[in-house]
Amino acid sequence: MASPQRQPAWQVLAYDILSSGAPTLSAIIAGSASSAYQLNLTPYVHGGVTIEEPGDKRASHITFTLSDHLGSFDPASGTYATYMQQHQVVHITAGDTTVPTSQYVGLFLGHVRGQVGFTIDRQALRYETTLSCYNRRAVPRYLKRRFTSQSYGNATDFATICLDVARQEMSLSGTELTRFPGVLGQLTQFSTNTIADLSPLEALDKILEALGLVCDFDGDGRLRVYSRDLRRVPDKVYANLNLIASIEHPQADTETYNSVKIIGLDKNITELEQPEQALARATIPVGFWRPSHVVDVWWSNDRSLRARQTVLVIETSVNNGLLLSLGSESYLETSEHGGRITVSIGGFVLTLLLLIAVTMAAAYLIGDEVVTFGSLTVPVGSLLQGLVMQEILLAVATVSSGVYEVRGVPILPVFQEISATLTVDGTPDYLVNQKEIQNDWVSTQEHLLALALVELIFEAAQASPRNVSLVDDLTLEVGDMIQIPLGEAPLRLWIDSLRRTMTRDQVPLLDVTGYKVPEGAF
Amino acid sequence: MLRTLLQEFHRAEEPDKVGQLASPVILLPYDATGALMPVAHVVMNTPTGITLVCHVPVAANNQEMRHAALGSPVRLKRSRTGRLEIVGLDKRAPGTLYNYSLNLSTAVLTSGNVSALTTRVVNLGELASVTSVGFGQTPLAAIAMYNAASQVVTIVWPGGV
Repeated sequence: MASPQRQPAWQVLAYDILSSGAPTLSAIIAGSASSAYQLNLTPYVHGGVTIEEPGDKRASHITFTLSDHLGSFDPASGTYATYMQQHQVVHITAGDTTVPTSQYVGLFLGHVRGQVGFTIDRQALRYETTLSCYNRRAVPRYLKRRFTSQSYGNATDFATICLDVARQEMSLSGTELTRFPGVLGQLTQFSTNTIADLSPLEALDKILEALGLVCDFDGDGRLRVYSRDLRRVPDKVYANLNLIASIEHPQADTETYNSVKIIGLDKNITELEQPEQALARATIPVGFWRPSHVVDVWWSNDRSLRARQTVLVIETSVNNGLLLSLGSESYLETSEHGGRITVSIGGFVLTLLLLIAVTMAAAYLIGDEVVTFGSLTVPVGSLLQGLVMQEILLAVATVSSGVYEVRGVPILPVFQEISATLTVDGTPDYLVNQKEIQNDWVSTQEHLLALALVELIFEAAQASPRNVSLVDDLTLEVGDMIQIPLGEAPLRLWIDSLRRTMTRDQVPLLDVTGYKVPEGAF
Repeated sequence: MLRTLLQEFHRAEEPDKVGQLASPVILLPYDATGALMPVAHVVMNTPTGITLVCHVPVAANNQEMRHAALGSPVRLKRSRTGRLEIVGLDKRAPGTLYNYSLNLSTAVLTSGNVSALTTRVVNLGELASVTSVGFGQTPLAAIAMYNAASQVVTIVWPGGV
């Protein structure tokens, strides 16, 4: 019979994922697993189930007791011993007796951890099995196995990287990822971006931290994110206090942060100019047989050092060794990595060759005329031929060398950190309690400030913890914001942790621990 | 107590710090006997802002630091008792620090000062103006430290600081 009254109901299901032919966890989450590997534990649950969701990147967990006078849950020899093994899956859903169980809301999905307890008390005729389960945030591989990702290029959305990590390093797929956003709206800034030596959850948390987000698994084992930004619209607004059982302002002696410092990595590589210095030296010989010499010089052997404002300093010129200054020396900066020094005495050598040619022609053209020096007669042609020989010898013997140095300003590409501090206005210096976040995924001043605002308001809210008990609301999760009418100003609460105890024939209460959102934040 | 222990553990595990050479590596008489120690000034991003730390010793037998040029990013290690030493070259350097304050009641955001320290060789055009004495006081190739507004904070080499 349909009734407007709520008739809470819940069920505890165990899944065998370890036996041969058993479904995968992914298939269970997708709802496509065979029921042959499913066991409904609900009738055997003794004393109810308490689900603790501590939040703050810690795994949700449950502990409950099964009671069965046949000892079916004896993990060693019971009929259902298979389901009592470490790593088997437990799924808790809740809803109402008036709706089919397929429409129940998932509140917890996790793995059995450690040895399942089993007690036989023959006097009290008690056969009790105690299980402890943790949700997927506690999976060792997600927490501990470090990996190095592929390299992502520029302008890659952060969600692409996160989803790759989830698929490749956490083996998540299909339904397990339906709650993870496909686009996060933040793009990589560098041409190569790699995650090195982090565990999957560390990597996801670090990337999401840059956006003020945190990842977690929901009650159905799906990866999700929630925001630490307290300036957003509440997820649920209570119109009155009818569903609120109690509100407490607990005494808290926690020293909260009143300042945050975010350190990121500037998206622009800074080219640091070093003091001017000698970059290269060259000693360049030239001569008749090699009148021009072109030498390429580099600022480093591996040709990776860059420099600017390079100039040639002539320490010893080729002209120093010549009779006439007919040599030329020039320098060309061919790239940021090196330059070209060109030294030539080609003009001088050419002049000598022309002179030889002219003199030889003259020697042949002039007749065998002689000049007389006293008793000696000297043929003019022989004189000219001797002169030619001297010119030839001079040309052939022409050798010079120059010593050159190229000076310039080396450039050093450097990652510059950029940082921002955001402090609560009016805080005296000596009372500043600063939280520092270093995140290389933050790379602009605007991004720094945006993240600092999220973090400072979040930290400021932690100064005002509240405990609220309300009639269980299956839609609430850690990271949600609720608004409760309270006096003149509504109480906005960011949910830090949840605790719900489900027993039979009782409307479950949900214990919420949260932080009051500062009124200036909305 | 647990929190204090965790904080201490965290501090012990914290990674090396980064800095930027604000002077060449020089040999400084370091003890009463005048024993020479290679040291350099370093700019660091500390909780109190971008700060100059003077005469930071270079780790022993560190050949790469001997020729490290001004402005090179360096890695530093802090001892348990709070002394720093330069242990090598690095790839990242402390850059600019932007300061803001937020009024939580009114959500008004106020921009504060911008903190940055860069060191470079004083160029010829600045030689006369870096000190009030004028031309002749500052030698050629002197190194000065500039703030975010490109004003000279101090001459770090030679002498200075």
